[in-house]
This record gives sequence, structure tokens and C-alpha cells, in this order.
Amino acid sequence: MLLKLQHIQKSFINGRTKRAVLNDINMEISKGDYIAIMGRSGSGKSTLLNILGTLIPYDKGTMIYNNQKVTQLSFDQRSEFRKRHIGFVTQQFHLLHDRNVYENIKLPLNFMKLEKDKIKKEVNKVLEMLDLESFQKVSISKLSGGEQQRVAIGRAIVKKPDILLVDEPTGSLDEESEKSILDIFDMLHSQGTTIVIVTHNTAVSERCDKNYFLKGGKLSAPIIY
Amino acid sequence: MLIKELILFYKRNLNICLFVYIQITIFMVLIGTFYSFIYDLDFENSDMKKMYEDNAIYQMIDNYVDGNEFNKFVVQKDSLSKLKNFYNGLENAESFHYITIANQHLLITDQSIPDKFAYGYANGMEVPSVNVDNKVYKPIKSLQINLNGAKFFNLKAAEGKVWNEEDFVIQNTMPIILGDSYHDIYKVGDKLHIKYLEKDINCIVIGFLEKNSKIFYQNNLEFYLDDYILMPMWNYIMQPQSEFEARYQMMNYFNMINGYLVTKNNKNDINRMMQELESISKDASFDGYTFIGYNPHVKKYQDISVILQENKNLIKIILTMSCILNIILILFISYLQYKNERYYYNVFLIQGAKKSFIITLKFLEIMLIVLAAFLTQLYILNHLLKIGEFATYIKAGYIGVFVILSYVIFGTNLLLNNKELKIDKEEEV
Repeated sequence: MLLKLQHIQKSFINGRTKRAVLNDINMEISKGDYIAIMGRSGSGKSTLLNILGTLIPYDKGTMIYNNQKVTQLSFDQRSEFRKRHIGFVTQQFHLLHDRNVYENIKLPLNFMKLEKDKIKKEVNKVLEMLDLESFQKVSISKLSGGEQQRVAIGRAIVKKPDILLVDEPTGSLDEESEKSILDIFDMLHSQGTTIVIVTHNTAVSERCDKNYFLKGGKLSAPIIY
Repeated sequence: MLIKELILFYKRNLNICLFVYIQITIFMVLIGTFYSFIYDLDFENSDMKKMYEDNAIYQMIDNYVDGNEFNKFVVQKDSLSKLKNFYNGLENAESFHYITIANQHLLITDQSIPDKFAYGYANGMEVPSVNVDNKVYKPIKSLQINLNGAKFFNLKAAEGKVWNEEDFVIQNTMPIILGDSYHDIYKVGDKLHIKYLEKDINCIVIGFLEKNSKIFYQNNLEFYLDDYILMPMWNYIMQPQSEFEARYQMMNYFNMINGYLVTKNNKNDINRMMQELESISKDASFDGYTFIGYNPHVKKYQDISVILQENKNLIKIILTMSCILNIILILFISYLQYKNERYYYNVFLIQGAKKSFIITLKFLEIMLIVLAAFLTQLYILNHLLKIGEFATYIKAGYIGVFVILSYVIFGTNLLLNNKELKIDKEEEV
């Protein structure tokens, strides 16, 4: 078992009202899983993904990673955890527009303080894998949505994370780009990468091995294909 | 990585950084200028107060400007005695202080002394060489001052010493004091041979005045002494042994009876002064003087002093308001800048950056701008405007406050707002 959530609860305070978003969430992620978390907009999918990625803390429950409790980590401990184990592809890509493709993909490795040669080797590997070699010097703002998505994926996988968390990967892409991106996830999965995708797009979930549904703050039992 | 991120930060925020830099620079120059102004105002005022507050200063000149009158007077047998008695009466008066200053130049054989020390140089006159007894002399700016004058203007030595009472009694070597600009030419203890009113005098340098030492002279409230050689006005008790010596003493005493009478600025004291002056004149049988009256320049200075003092509070209020406005503006701009930059900080944090990295980055971003502004204002104040040195030290404190303020504000902001990383706000729930 790579990652396990037990009885996770999360609520947000909006003004005077407290709104429960996630209620008693239980979930298991094994190495090599290809998971889709489905749900409507506002169902709490992204919140669940952010908890998995330690971007936000949860109110109650337990999170176990590699049989070790990672329940309540400090801010910096969560940063460290993300750096070592989590790759994140956000819906808006969150790329840095003041630098080129190569530098964007390289970013997580900077924080890992690797040697220059090693960084170059890893980035080039990713550029080749995602067919981005010819774009490496191109500024982000000159790329299409699909190309930017590939760069975001490249940045997430360059550090070889244990789990790749992906938020609505096809939300803003045309059909052709969508297919191309999903093919990349398939390829990564076939190489053994653990992937968790939050989506409301059935075309995405159909490709995954395990589907969860999130409704009213509760997570369904997984449907395994 | 930090340096690279800093460079990228300045690249993407070039305009706003330039604006903050200019704003902080203006702010610092403003503080420096105002501070210097208030500091100088206090300084001038305290100096002015000592000299002019409550004092009435009257000017006295002799009546022998006309050559015929002068000749008529000097041929009298007891003319020198009359002058000496009159002067001694003035100097020892009880109801007023008698200050006398003369600017008779002296001659020095050393031609290497820069022209700025030469007599008449400041007025754009050519510096002529003077040939006496086959020796070439250079006329040098000099002031002669009596003991009361030295005390009244509170002359202070930056090196060596100033005169004491014994220095005003005739002796073999004359103790002279040099203005600050003479530092590169002479040192304390140096002996000079000068020609003064055609007489050869041996001098010894006993001290250097503080930089920017000034006196009230020739209707100039700030007559700077940096380029001057100051000689004590000796009182020649002994009768002259030669005609040359008599003429020399006569010329000296004519210089000495042109001066200022200082007394308390009230009717009683002024009346007492007038009465005593009349009595001195009578005792010395010398009435060849004209009393000019209350010096209008001093009156003007006193009025200015009152106005400045009253406006000091107004200036302080303007300065404080300007400082507050500047601080608000700078912090507001910096906050906007920070909001723009949050996107980058969040991306860094998602990718595994620690909080300390972000805070250090923010700190350096602001600190470098403040540092650049600080150096610029130093250059502007010290080199372009040439405003006091003291103010710059004070401003270093402001810089520290700024950097710390910025650091605390942005650091705290970061701590408070990033407990949860809001990567997609609209998808929060």
C-alpha cells in the first residue's frame, strides 16, 4: 500500500458558516494504480486531491504513506514530502511564464539540489519522452494549451514522483490535445507511475483502472476495471 | 538558484521595482534634507542665540577716513596715547563688551601657498606679488581680533589650542591660529616669518580652527574663517622707541578702535553703555569716532531666528506627514507587488520549496531595492547636494526599519495566508 486515507474530514469556513466538504473519506492507493476520482463541480474532488498532495491540511483522520503515518505535518515537512514523493499537474498548469520550457521542467530539480549534469540529463529525458525537445527554448506564453499541459506533466514527472496527481487534465483542451495528453498518462502508467486523476470527463476515467465517485462529501467504493 | 530567481523577479517586475526604488530614494533624500535642515537650524539657532539673543550690537568707526583729518590728528604729540587710552577704556568697559576685528593682510615669502589664501583672491582680483627690500612676498588673507572677540564668537580649535589672555600681551613670537584649510600646508608648532604693516614678525602656529568656523564681520553674519590666518590684536603697553614703531602702533590702534560694542538689549544697559562710552572718550580726550547704532543686520538675523524657530514645528509636521505618506505608498506598492508574486511563490511551494526560501527571496527582493535607494541617496546628499554627514547615519536607521518592516509584513503575510496553498481558488470546494 502506497498511500492510505482513513476517515478524513475537511470543512471550510465561509464567513460565519462552516461547510463540510469531505466527510469520512477512506481510500487506498497502491503502487502502479491508475485512479480516477469523479464528481460534479464543487463536489470536493480538488480538495481531496490537494489533501493527497499535502497542499492543504485536513481536519480529522489519518493519512498513511508507505505504512508510516503522515497525519499532521508542519508546513515545511509537507513541502519536503511533496518534493520527494508527489508530482502535481494542476488544472491551470501553473507554469512560469517568464522562462522557457526547459527551465519550467527543471524547476522541481532545483529544489532537490541535484548536480547540473544530472538535472540536464533528467530534463532531456522528459523532453524526449513528451516530444518537447524542439520546444525547450520556447517561452511558455508561445505554447498552445496542449503543449503547456505537456510541459506541466513534464515538470511533475521529472523528479520521478511516487504518485502523480492530476487535476482536470482535459478541462481546457480540444479533442486532439485531450487524446494526446491521455496517451501520455497511459504511457506513464505503463511505465509503472502511480496516477490519480480528478475529472468529470468519462473519457478520462474510462482509461483508468479504478474509479471513485465523490458525492455529498462521501467517496464511493472503487469500481475496478 | 536564489540569485537566478532574484534576477527573474526584477525582470518581470522591472517597472514596479523602478517605481519603488525611485519612491524610496526620494523618501530618503527628503528625510536627509529635512533632517539636515532641522539639524542645521538647531545648530545655527543655538549659535545665534548665544551671540545675538538679548544682545544689542553697536558699531563704531573712527572719523579719520579723510586724509587731511588723519594727518592733522597723527601730528599731534599725544595722538598715540589718546588712541591707546581710548582703546584700553573700550576693552575694559564694564557696561559692554568691545569687539574689534581687522582684516589687514600679511605678507609671506612662501610663494607655494595656494592662491585661494591670497588677499583679494575671493573677489576675483589678481594676486600680485609684493616686492619689499628685494624680497618677493605673497599677500595673505588675515584677520586680527581682540580677546573679547575671540571669546564672543566662541572660536574653537580642532587641533592645538585657541588663545588665552597671555597671548594678547606683546611678546617675541606671535601665536597665530589658522583656518581649517591650512591643514595641508602647516602644522601646529610651525614657525612663520611674516611682514605685517611693514613690520617683521615671528609667528608660531598654536592651533587650527574647527571647519566652518565663522564670525559676524563686515555685515556678513557668516564670515567663514577657513582660509584665514588669525592674529591676536596685541596691546602695545610700551611706548614706541622709533618713528617706525610709532607709526606701526598708530596703524594698529586705528584698526583697533573700529569695532563693535555689545551690551544687553534693554534701555538701562544701553543707556549705561552710552554713558560709559562718553566717559571713556572724555578720559582719553578722544572724540574722533562715530557711533553707527543698533546694527540692522543683527536685528534682521534675530527676526529670522524667531520666524525659523516658530516654523520649525510646521516643518516637522510636514516632514512627518510626508514620511507617513511615503511609508504607506511604499508598503501599498510592495503589497500589490507581493500579491502579483504570490502565483510564483505558490508554484515554488507546490514544487517543494520551503517557506524559508520564499521569505529569503522576498527579503532580498526588497532589501536590494532599499539598498540601491540608500546608496543613491548617499550619493545625492553627499556628492550632489553636499548636505551634512550626520544625517546619513540617521537614515541608516530608517533603512533598517524599512527592511525589517517589509520583512515582518511580508513574512507574516506569507505565514498567515499559506497555511493552505490555494492553487485553484475557484476549485477550492
